[in-house]
Amino acid sequence: MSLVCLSGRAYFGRRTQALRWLAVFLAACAAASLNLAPVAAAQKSEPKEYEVKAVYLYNFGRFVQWPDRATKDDTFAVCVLGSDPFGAILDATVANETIDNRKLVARRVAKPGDAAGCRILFISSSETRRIEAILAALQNSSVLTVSDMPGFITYGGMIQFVLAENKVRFQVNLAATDKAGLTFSSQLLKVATYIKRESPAGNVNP
Amino acid sequence: MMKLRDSLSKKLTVMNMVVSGVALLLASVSFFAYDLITFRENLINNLSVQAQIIGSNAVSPLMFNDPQSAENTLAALHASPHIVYASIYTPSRDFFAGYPPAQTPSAFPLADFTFNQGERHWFENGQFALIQTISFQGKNVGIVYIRSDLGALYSRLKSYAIILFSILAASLIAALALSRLLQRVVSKPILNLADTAGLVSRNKDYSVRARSTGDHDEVALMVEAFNGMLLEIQKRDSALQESERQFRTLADSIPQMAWMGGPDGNLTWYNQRWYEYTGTSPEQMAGWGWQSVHDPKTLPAVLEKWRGALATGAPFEMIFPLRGADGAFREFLTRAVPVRDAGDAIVLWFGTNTDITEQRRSEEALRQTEKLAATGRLAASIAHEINNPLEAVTNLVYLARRQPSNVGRYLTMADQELDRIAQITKNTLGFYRDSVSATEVDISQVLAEVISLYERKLHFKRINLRSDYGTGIKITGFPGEIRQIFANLIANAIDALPVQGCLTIRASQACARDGVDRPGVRIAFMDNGSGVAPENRTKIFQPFFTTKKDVGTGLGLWLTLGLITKHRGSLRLRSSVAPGRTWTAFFVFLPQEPPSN
Repeated sequence: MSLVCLSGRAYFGRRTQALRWLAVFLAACAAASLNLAPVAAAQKSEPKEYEVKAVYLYNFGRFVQWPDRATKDDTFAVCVLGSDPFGAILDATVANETIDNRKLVARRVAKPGDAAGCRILFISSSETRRIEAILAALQNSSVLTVSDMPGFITYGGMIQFVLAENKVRFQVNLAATDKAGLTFSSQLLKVATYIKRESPAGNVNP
Repeated sequence: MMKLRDSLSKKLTVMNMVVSGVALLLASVSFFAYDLITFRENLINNLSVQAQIIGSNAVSPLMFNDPQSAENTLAALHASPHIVYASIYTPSRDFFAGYPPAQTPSAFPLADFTFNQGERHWFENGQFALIQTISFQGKNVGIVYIRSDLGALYSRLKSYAIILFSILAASLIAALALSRLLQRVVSKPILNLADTAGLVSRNKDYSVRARSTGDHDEVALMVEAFNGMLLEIQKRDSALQESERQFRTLADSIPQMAWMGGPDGNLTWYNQRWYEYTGTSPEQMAGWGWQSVHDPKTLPAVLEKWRGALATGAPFEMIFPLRGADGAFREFLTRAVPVRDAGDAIVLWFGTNTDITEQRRSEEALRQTEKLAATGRLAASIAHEINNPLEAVTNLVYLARRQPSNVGRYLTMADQELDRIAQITKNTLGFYRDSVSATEVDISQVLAEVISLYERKLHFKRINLRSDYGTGIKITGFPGEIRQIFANLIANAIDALPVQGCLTIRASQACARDGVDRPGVRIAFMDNGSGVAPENRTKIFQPFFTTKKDVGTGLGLWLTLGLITKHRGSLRLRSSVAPGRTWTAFFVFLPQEPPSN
């Protein structure tokens, strides 16, 4: 919670702006009775990077299959580890959303051990220095790890946000997902800019 | 005959071809139409499936905003040659990706489309267009729009047309062959019948019979009925010929000349007697050739009357002379009557010419005879009339001789008696001085003279004579004949009257009552004698009819009527035989104008 407060304080200036935008966005959502409006709205007034990332984070949940050993909660938790770059955006994005009849919730976790109940864990770039330890701690859990820190997938992370031509894109590490027992939809792989596999021959760029 | 045969079999063939062609065409067209509708539905379904495939492949590019990936997906449409265009729109109807690739973004095509419509399709510029919502896990993530040309439909239509025409051609050829084969069963007996019918009508030979087919169908019935009809015609034909022969025999054996002609007056047939009398040939008589045997003097009147009869359809009756083979004319009474059909239209004229020359002669002889008889009667009457004054003269001469002192007075009286004799003689002469031409006749005077001739008879029977014939009533006519008319009627009245009977004679100016205003004189002779029985009222005008068995010749009234008719006058009879009130009245009307010659 202190992290949230910190980050909140850190992004204080941008937050009021973001809230204003959010109101517009929500109105657009209601009008279009559509939950993926950010993509659409993005073309009208270019959305902020973390707004797109928040939507992507939630969308990943729709293209990934978790193994049976994953938590059987009623909720589908999207967690943020480290300094929170989303702020209220994430909470707004997942509000009233469900995946596989599970209610989406946004959670902030302080340490990797707290992430066991999470389906998706966004690791903030503030954790770059401790990334190997974090990933090692999550090794036996079925948590989809996402980060925008450079070199994330080489550390063994699963999805890494990258910026290409001013657009938010992502890279996928299939070796890590296989290990974690997660299955990626080919649809997701199709739009990934880079897919890391165990064998070098598996490298595919769709 | 060849033409008929051709046309009947042609008709049957054409009928077969048309029937099978139409049936086939209807079947094929409905089948193909059904197939085309199904095919169209299939086309829409295929397009819908294509749209779904594109849509489901576009889900992640849409959700992760990767148009390039979507275009890569769309590029797979290259394998479907009929897809000419496809594009993907974001839920907010912004262009996302398109096919063929590298095109300018196009606006959303269907403004009123909403997501809950799911899918819509329509025709657009000869293309199928379809629009479909892309949904993913219950969320509408975009819209796919796809257009297909109708090449598939057209190629299908083309192959259908080829199939249809091949089937039609093959079937019609088969139908042609089959109908050629089968029509013989139907047409052969009919053609045989037609042959027979042609033979009959060509040769007028009603003894031939149509061959039976041996079947029991309608054609066989027709053959049977035809043969029955032929038999009937044969019977009637021979009956007609017999009747015709009898008629000719009859027509040729009658003493009259007879002829027939059409409603237009063209005479087509004359009996043998005509040719014998006129010495002409059928060729000379054709049409209106009969005019050559007429007297040119009477021909115009004959033609006028004949044309009038043709125009009105009224029976024709006229007396005119016809020239015989010897060049001499004889008088003929010609009568012609129209023969009408069931519809009352004239189909022919039948006429006869009866030679009345002999009749005319005997009538003339009769007239002379009656004249002589009348003269005889008159002579007796005159003898009586003259006898009286002669006796008086004889007495007066005797008295004059005996009484010389009174000679002057007696001679004067004798002179008066002789004057009377002279008067009687003069009146008598009037009967014989028949004028050649009509002259003015004083009816009053003639009546007075005739009555004076019968004075003694009237006196003898003590008949009460009341006469009122005025003076100076004059007409133009033949005095001798008028005198005879009056004499006959008065003599008849005297004969009919009993002793002390009453005779009234009245003459007055009058007009004829027969429609035409003809001035003239009416003379009435009324007696209260025995009257004329109703059954005798027409007979008394016929020659040789008399009720006065001992004294009459039966010619008086017949002659009287003839004379009145000659003067274009009329004679009417009224009579009563009621017991106690018997009377008879003759009304003579004589016109003022001169009678024609």
